[in-house]
Amino acid sequence: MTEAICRELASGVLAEHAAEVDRDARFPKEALAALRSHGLLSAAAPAGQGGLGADVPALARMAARLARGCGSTAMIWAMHQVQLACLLASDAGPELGAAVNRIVRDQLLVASATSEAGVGGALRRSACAVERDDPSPAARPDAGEPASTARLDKHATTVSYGLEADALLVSARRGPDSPPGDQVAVLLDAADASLETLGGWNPLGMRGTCSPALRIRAAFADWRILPVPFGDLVARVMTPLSHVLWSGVWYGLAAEAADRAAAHARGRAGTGSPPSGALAEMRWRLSAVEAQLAEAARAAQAVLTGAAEPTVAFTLLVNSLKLAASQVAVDVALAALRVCGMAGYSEDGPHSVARLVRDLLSAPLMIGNERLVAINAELALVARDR
Amino acid sequence: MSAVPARAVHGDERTPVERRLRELLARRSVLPGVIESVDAGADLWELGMESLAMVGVMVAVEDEFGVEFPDELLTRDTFRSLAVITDAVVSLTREEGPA
Repeated sequence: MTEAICRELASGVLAEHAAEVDRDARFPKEALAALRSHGLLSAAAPAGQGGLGADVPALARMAARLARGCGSTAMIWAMHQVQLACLLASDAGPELGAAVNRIVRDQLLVASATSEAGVGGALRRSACAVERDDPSPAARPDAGEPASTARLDKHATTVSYGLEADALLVSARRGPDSPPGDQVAVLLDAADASLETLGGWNPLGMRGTCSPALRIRAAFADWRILPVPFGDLVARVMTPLSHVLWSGVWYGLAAEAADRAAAHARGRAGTGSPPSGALAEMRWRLSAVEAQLAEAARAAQAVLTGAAEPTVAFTLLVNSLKLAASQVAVDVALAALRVCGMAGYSEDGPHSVARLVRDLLSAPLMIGNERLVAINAELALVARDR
Repeated sequence: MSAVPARAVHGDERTPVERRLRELLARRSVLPGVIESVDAGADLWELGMESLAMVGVMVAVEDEFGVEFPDELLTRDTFRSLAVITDAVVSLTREEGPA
């Protein structure tokens, strides 16, 4: 049902604005409004809380469906689901719980600010810290809005849809004396934060994600710091879900490219020559990614619900999915480009795969594959069967 | 998870294991200047241990004590503190060793 809606929206409003969103590198506001009107922004939230209650395998399939219409929209949606899952997995107190409920109910868009200048692209290190004027914020007897006792100032290098989001999940060191790896996540209301764009946004692909560098400054109440340590949240929710849902997006983009190549080859069927063998190769490559994606999605669901632990073998599994999906999707899209020839190279026309190729070239860079290979090589030293 | 025993019961077994473990991590420069004297229950993640360093610790502990952690013990929780690692090692050596 939900997947059918995703398919319909992908071929409708998403596809309709995709070229313009891409050309102008602008936020896909029409698509996001349509997703909202179908409750899709709260897809990962439980039905009892006002969400759609989609599990990880369902979310991955939805991501793939959406990507066929507009890669940027699908990636924004996927990233938002990851942020939402992080918030839902946090054992929140009453105030944070109410804020999360409001995000689910009103389908507010949540961006992630985990990147930072000077930490070399490492998610698990922060330079900025949560700082306090008063080191021991005492409970305040006066009722009403709790005072802003903490603040942060972060130079984030890439904040996807940061200027469009209603809220931001920002990583920072726990305190000024904390080591780079002792981090917390802070949920900021965009309205309470000062966001300053540093530099422009004119990339090769995924242009609608609008992911510039931002300086984020905010003062906030203590309850906005998620109680679960950031490292645990990363291991259990953020990394596995990112890899699975991003891979869903890449799989969808590659499958769309393969379909366009097949359509192009069909149009030339009258010429007497047999179809390119690349059409067959694209299919087996896609089948392999699809199976790997489904397996990793099932494993991620078990870890998300607490039925399984994020062990070394699990981390290897989801990292391997990211490596394979990001590389194979690019290979498939480039094969589609060869099949389609100039019709594929053109930005216009039914057999264009140009935008798909450009969007997919971001895949190996999002959490750089070289870094991930280095991590998996270490993990392989202690890998055992799950 | 089931392999972690109640600590109080095996107090005498644990002390030498914990000492060897502390020396091992110090030799490997895990949290240098901290690991030598930190409380056995202290959270190593909060003290700044990093994920990749943890894999090195896993390998070193397996080699030092001649044990092999099953995958379900290869988690951040097992390697959260000297005390928890010690519990896991004691439990594995009792399962595998001559006891």
